[in-house]
Parts: sequence; structure tokens; C-alpha cells
Amino acid sequence: MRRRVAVTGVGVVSPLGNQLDAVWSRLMAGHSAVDVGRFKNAATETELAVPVARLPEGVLAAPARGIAGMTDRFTQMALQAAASAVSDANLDLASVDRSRVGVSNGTCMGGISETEVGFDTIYLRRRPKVHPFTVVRTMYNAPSSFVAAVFELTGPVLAYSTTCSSSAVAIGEATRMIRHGYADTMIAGGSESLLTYSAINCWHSAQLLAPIAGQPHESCRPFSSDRNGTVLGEGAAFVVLESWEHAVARGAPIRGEIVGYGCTADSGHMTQPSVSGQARPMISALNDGGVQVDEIGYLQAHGTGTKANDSTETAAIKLAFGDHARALAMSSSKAQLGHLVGAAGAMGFVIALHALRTQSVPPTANLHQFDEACDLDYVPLEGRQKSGMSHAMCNSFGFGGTAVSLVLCSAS
Amino acid sequence: MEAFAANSGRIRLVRADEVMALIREFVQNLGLDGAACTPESELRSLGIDSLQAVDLVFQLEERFDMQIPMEQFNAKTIGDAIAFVVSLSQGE
Repeated sequence: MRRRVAVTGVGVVSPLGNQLDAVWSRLMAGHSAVDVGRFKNAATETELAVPVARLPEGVLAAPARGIAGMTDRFTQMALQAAASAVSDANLDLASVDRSRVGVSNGTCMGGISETEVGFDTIYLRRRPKVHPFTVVRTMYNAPSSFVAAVFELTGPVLAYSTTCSSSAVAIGEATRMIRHGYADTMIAGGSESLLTYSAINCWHSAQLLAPIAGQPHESCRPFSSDRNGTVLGEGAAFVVLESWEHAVARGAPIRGEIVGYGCTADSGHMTQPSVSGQARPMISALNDGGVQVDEIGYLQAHGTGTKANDSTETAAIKLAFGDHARALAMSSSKAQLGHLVGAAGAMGFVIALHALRTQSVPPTANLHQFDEACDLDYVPLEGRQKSGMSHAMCNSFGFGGTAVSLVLCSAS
Repeated sequence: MEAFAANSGRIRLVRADEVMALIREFVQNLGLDGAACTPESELRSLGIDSLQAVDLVFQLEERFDMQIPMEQFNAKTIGDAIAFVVSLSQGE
């Protein structure tokens, strides 16, 4: 048995806002949320300044009082995005069999903010113990577990951590849950909150972060020859997925359909991507959906802005798509939203979905300089209308080699 | 529990009204009725479950720079909790 999977609701908490239409307008216009972030080491009183994309004031609402004390920021963002998705789906969870509804989240660094607080408590402040909720606040399945608890859901409640592809895996595996009958509805996505000194130090130390550009919002430059690193951001994106029959039966607003999921391993270097390793999930997702390469009208690229990723991804797209690679419109939104790491796959998925719904493609911001190794159509600087698109793809690749592509089909 | 049995010599005396204020604030932060707190109020009837009681003990430790052996914290009422913390601060 293989059931069709509809996307019926979308919710985002992002550096460009929490209302998808407004986020989309900003993306299309090339706006970037990236600015200078300053992170203090409380022990040495030194500072690390890097470009980051933070949530603007007011984008993340204060959590309910009983929940606030038990959760880290990454769970609070997930709860808000998931609730928005449920609302967008017009889904009254009290009216469905909640044993058939599950939750699936992805994250890379979980509750790292709270982990840092714990270390400060025992090493810096020399207190005898950390807060008793530290495990609950930091555990990687906290987003799924709290969403399930709030909505009283008793289907499969799962978490995935494959670094930058975590939430794409969460959506893909949720799709399989529905396809194969383990659930009728899944709330799936990811969240990441790593704008804290220790986490920034990890990424900075690995030489992955772009330095602050003269104009900070131009720090991340995917596919541009002068790109020199990625920019981290924080946020969450969740979707409601339902079996097609379930969605139709309750008159749900069907936003699109997930038709293909490819999840493969690079199986080589822990951080260095390979062309075949990135082509493999694209081919797998196309095969999974029975979709021909020339049916894909838009591709939301992983496009991190690092030297290694963008040229490798370009070569991988050429390998997977052949001659059609040059007809594709593709872009990376990381110059504008930052790299949301564990939430990046879900955010990219939402962007690809909205491209189909609006028949328009968002740009790759800050793409000013041509690179011979990046010679495809990345929709530089400004978004554009593109009619006739029936399918889109979203790429999401992680350190450790878990590479994911998702293929979407327009609802109409 | 060795780490939690080292109160000697460094803690200050804690007043009952300070403990009461912290408990009221704690109850309010849980979204419960802080105004309903009296020394006679039972923690459980205020809506504080066993997990939240662990959190309360941690916050008492943090605020008053003391260590409270959880196995000895058997307070049923707010008054019990206040008396326990005050007596612990007195080294009793």
C-alpha cells in the first residue's frame, strides 16, 4: 500500500517573520535578515562577532507559562510553528482520531542554549547541580514531544538529527509514515536555536562561517565567486501532512503533494561533499515520485555559501538533471534567512512549496560575481514569476553525509 | 547526595517572608493562582506536581545559595516548605 501525501498546512518562525506571505514578499524582494551578532564568553569576557540571522523582536511569542520553564528556545519556536501549521490546515485535532496523528522533528544541536546554561552553572558558577529540567529542555525530541503533549497526539512521535538535513529527513520520514499507513496525519518540520557563544564557537572554529562583510547583510553569497562561508540563523518551519483521502474527506486546503523522497548517504568524508553523494538523493527522489527531470520547474538548493558546497551541488545538479539543469530555475534562500541548520530543510521545503503555489521563484541574494563552477540559473538578486511549474525539488545536505531531496507537486 | 550535604558555614539565614515570596512567584510562573498561596496551602492542591516540586527546590537552592537534600524535602504545605528552608539555613 502506498498512499498519496498532501501538504495541508504551513507554519514558520523565521528571521524574516512568522507570516508566510510577508516572508515571501521579503524573499522575493531580496531582503536579508543577516546582521552582526556579538557573542560574549562569560568566563573570559572576550567576544566573538559574526554575521547571523536572528528572529526579530516579536516574531517568537512568549510561550504559555507552564511550558516556558520546561523548554529551550528551539522547542518554543517549534511549538509556535507547528501551531501555525495546524491553524493553516484548518485542522481541528479534537475532531480526528488522535492516535492516528504523529509528530516528527529535526534538529542539529537541540537545546544547546540550555546546555550552555548548564555548563555555566556547574563550571563557571560552581553550583553543585544544573537545573532539574535540563534533560527535558535539551533533549532532541523535545519539539515533537511537546507538540504531541499540547495537542494530545498519540501517534508516532519522533526526532531526527542528521545535522543540516535533519528536518528534511523529518518531513521525508513523516511522508513514509503516512504512505505506508502508520499514521493519517503528521506534523513535521524542524527547529534550531544555536545563536549562543559555545555553538557559534563550534562553527567558527571549523572555518565554516563567513566573516562580516562591509554591508553585514551581504556576508553570505551563495554561488558567487567571492563566497566565503555560510551565516547561521535561527528559526523553525513545520507542515501538516495528511493522506490524500484524509485531507479530501475533511475538506482540507490542499497546498501541494509530496511525491518523491530521496535519502542517501555520501559515505565518505564527514564534511567534504561529493558530486555523486549530492546527485544520489536527487535521482532517488525523482525515481521515488516517478517524476521526469524536465517536470521540475524550481529547485530550492542547499546553497550554503561555502566554497565546497555550492560548486559541488552545481555539478551534482548537472549530473542528476542532464541538459535540463540549464532550464531549471534554482535558488538558495540562506543569504536572506541564514542557514537554519536543523530547520533548513523544512524551511527550504516550505519555500519550494510556496514557489509552486505562487508560480514564482525567489532569488539568490548577494549573487554578484559569476563563478565558472557555478554557471546555472540561480535567479540572482530578485525573484521572478515563472508560470507553468508543476513540480519543485528541495535539496538538503548534512555533515556526516545524510543527503536528502524532496519532490513536490502542485495541488492544482 | 554528598554534594547536597555541604551547607555548613556559608549559607545565610533565610527569612520566612523571602521563602513565601519565592513560592508565590514560582506558582504564578506556572500559570497558577499565586494569590491563593497561604502557609496552609497544600502544594499539590495548588497544582504543583512532583516534577515541579523538584524545580521549586532547585529555585530555593539557587535563590538562597543553599543545598537541599531532596529526600528530606517532604513538605505538604507551603508552611512546611518555609519552615524546612528556614531551619536548614539555621543549620538545624
